[in-house]
Amino acid sequence: MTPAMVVATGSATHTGLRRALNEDSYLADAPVFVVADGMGGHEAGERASATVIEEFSKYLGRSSLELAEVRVALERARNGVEHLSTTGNGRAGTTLSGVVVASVDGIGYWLAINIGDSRTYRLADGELEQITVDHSVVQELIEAGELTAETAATDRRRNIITRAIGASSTGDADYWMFPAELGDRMMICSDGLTSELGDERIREILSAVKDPQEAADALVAAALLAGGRDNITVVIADAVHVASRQGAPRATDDMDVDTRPREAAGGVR
Amino acid sequence: MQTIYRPGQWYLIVIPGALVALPPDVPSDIISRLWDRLPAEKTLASVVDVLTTAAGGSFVALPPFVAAVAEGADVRIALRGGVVARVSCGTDAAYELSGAEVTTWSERFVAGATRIEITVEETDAASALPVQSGIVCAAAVSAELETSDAEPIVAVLGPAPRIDEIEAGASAASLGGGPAPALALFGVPSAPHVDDVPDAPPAVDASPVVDASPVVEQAEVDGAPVSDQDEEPAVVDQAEEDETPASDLEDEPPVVEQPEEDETPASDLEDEPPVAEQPEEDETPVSDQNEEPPVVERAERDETPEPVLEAITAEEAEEDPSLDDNGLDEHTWEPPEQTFAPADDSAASDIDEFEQLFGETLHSGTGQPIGQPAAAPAIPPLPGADLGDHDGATISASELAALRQQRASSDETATQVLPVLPAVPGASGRIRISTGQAVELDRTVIIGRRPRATRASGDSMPHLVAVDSPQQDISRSHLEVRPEAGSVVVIDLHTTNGSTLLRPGADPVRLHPGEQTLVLSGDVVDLGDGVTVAFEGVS
Repeated sequence: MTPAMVVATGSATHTGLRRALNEDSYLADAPVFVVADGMGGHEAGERASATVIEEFSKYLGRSSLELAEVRVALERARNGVEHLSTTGNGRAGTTLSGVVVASVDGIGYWLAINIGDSRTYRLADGELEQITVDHSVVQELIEAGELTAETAATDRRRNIITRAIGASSTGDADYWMFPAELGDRMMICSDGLTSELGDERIREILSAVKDPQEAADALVAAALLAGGRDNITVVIADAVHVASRQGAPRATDDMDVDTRPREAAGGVR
Repeated sequence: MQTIYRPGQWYLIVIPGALVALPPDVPSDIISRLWDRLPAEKTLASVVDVLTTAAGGSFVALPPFVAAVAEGADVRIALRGGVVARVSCGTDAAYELSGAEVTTWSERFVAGATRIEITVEETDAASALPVQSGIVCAAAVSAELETSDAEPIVAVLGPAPRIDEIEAGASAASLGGGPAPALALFGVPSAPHVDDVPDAPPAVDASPVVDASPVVEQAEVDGAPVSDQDEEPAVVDQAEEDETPASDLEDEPPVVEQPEEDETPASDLEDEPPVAEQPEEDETPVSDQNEEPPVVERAERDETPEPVLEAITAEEAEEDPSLDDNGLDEHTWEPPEQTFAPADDSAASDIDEFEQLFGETLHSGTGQPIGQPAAAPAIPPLPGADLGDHDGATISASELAALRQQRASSDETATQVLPVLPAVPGASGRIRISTGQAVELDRTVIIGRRPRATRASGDSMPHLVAVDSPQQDISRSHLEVRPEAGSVVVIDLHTTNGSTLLRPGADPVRLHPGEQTLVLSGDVVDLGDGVTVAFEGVS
C-alpha cells in the first residue's frame, strides 16, 4: 500500500531568553507532528508535555492514523499527566496542537488536533491559514466580539487557557480533518512563537525559506530577536507526496473552483 | 475476559470484551482493519461495518464470520456461515446459535451473559491455550466474561498484523451450506452439573486476576505442574497488558528524558549550571499548596534579567504606541511586593498572588477556586497579569472563573463547539453508496469528492466518505447525512451541481442548498457523476 502522504519535516525549540526551563516538547516524525507546551512550573510542565509526546511517539512509523487512535493516545496521555499531578509536586498540564497523517478512502488527509493555545497553521499557495482555534480566554472574548485580534495580541489575559491536558481539565480536544494538498506546509508552534511574531511575519518566513528545517530555525530565531519571552517551539511538515484517487486533482482546496458546473442541469427541479 | 482456544485455521481476534473469528482466506486488510478499529470502537456495528465495507456491499462477497462483543454485562453476537456458538448466562441458560443457512448473518443479543463459546472448524485438538489479547489461529474458543471487559481499551494493542493471503476456499466451504461443526467443549460444561472446574465461576465476578482459569486448563491438558503458580504469571501478564504492550515499550524512541530528573535532582544540578533551586524550599512554608514551589523558584530566576526587560520595555513602547496601556505594564517588570498587595486576604490568597505573578500559564478549566473563596471579589485589578504574561503571569482558576463571570453570557456561548452534531445514541439505519461502501448512521456523514470536517469534538467528528467523480461533477463536501433522534436528514452543502432526492413513486426533487430534508428507507440521493446514496433501515 502506498503511504497516504510523504512528509518532509523540520523542527526547532528554544528555551527563550527569559525562561529557565524549556517546558515545550514536540514530535516531528511521520505520521505525527505535534507540539506540547507544558505548564505547572518546576519540572511539572516539562514532564507533562513529554508524557504526551511519549504517548504519540508510539505511533511513529505508521503510514496513517485514525481518529480513534489519536483519541486513545490522548486519553492515555491525559491519564499520565493527571498521574504526574497527583504524584509530583506541581499541578502539571500541557497544551497539544498539531497534525497527524490520516487517510480517507485512499486520499491523504491531515487530521489536526488542538487543546490549549499552541497552534497549527497551514501555508498553501502562499496563504497562511490558522487551522486550530485557541482554547483561551482572549479567544473566547474575540468570538464574543469583545476583543479584536489586534487588541488581543496585547491583552493581559492572553496567556490564560481554558482547556489543557491535565491541570484538572476535562477539556476535550478539537479536531479538523481535511484533504492534504501537494505542497502543503503545516507549521505547528507553541505560543512562544505567536506571542512574538504576527501572522504576516510568520507567513513571510515560511514562504521565503524553502527547506523545512531552515524555516523552523528561522522562525525560532526571529522569535528570539523579537524578545523570546517564552519557550519557542516550531515543527514544520511539508507534504511532498499525497496519495490521491483518479480524477481527484490536488490543486487549490478552499474553494470549490474545480467542481465543474454541469451543463444544462437536466431540468431537475 | 479469560479466553482459551483450540488451535486451528481460522483467524481469531481476541481483545478484552470482543472475539472475532474469520476464515483463513479472508483478505488480510480486514484483519488489520479490525485490529486497528476494535479497541477504540468495541461494537458489533464496527465489526459489521468493516466486513461489509470490505465486501463492497455485496452479501455474496461477505466472508463467514463470528463476532461477539460484550456490552456491559450483555453480549451481542453475529454469525454467518457454518459456524456455531453458545452464549451462557451463568448456569441458568445457554443459547446455541448457528450461522448456517442464513443469507445475511444471524444476530443475537444475550443479556447477562457470562460465557461465550465459538466453534468454527471441526477439531480433534485437545490443546487449550490461553490468550489475553491478540490474533491467533483457532478452531474453537471459549471466553469467560468479566466486568472489566466493558471498560474502554486505552492501550494500543500492538503493531498491525501482517498476514499471507491464501487461496480462497475455506469461506466458500463454510458458506456452502454443509453441516456446521459441533460445538467444541472445553471441559467446562455450562450445564448445571459442574464437577471438576471450581475455578471458572469465581473468576468471572471476582478480581481481575485474569489468567487463572486458562492457565489451569492448560495445566490439565499439558500435564505441566503450573497450577501452584497459576495466579502469579497471570497477574504479571495483566499488568503488562494494561500499562503498555511490551513491544511498544521497546520500540519507543527515547524522546523523553525528564523522568530521570525527579529521581536524581543532584545530577541535574551538575548538568545545568543555571539551576539554583535549593533556596526555594526555605521560602515556601505553604507546603500543601502544590503550585507553590515552582512559582517561587521562577520568581528568583526572573529577577535576574531585570535590566534587560526594562530595555525592551522602553524600546517597544516607543515603537508601538498601542502598547502604552497593557503593553507597558506587560513589559515593565517590577518586584511583586510593589505591584500588588491584596491586603486583606489570608495566606491562601498569597499563593494566588504568587501564581499570578510568576506561575506558568495555568490551566483554569473547571474554574475551581484555589485557596481562595470563589466569592472573593478579587477580579478587578488582575494585578499579576500586569507584570508580564511573557514571564508566565498567571492567573488562578478562581480569578478565571471571575473573569468569565464578568462576561458570563457571551463567554458561555463562545466556548461552544461548532455545528457538527454529536453522535446520536440509538440512531439506526445506514447508507449504501453506489461505490459499494456502506456506512452506519451512528454519526453525521459527509460525502464528497474530498470532504472535510471542521472543529469537531472527538465524539461529534463526522464520518468522511470520499467518492470518485471523474467529471468533477460532485463537490468536495457535497452531502451531509445527519442522524437525528428517530430520523435522518440530508443537507446539500451548497454544491455547484446540486443533489437530487429520488423517492419511489415520486418525482425527483432537487434538494434546497443548506436545508435539511427528511429521508426514508428506500430513498436515494443522486450526487451526480453516477454516485448515489441509498438509505436503509431508516425509521
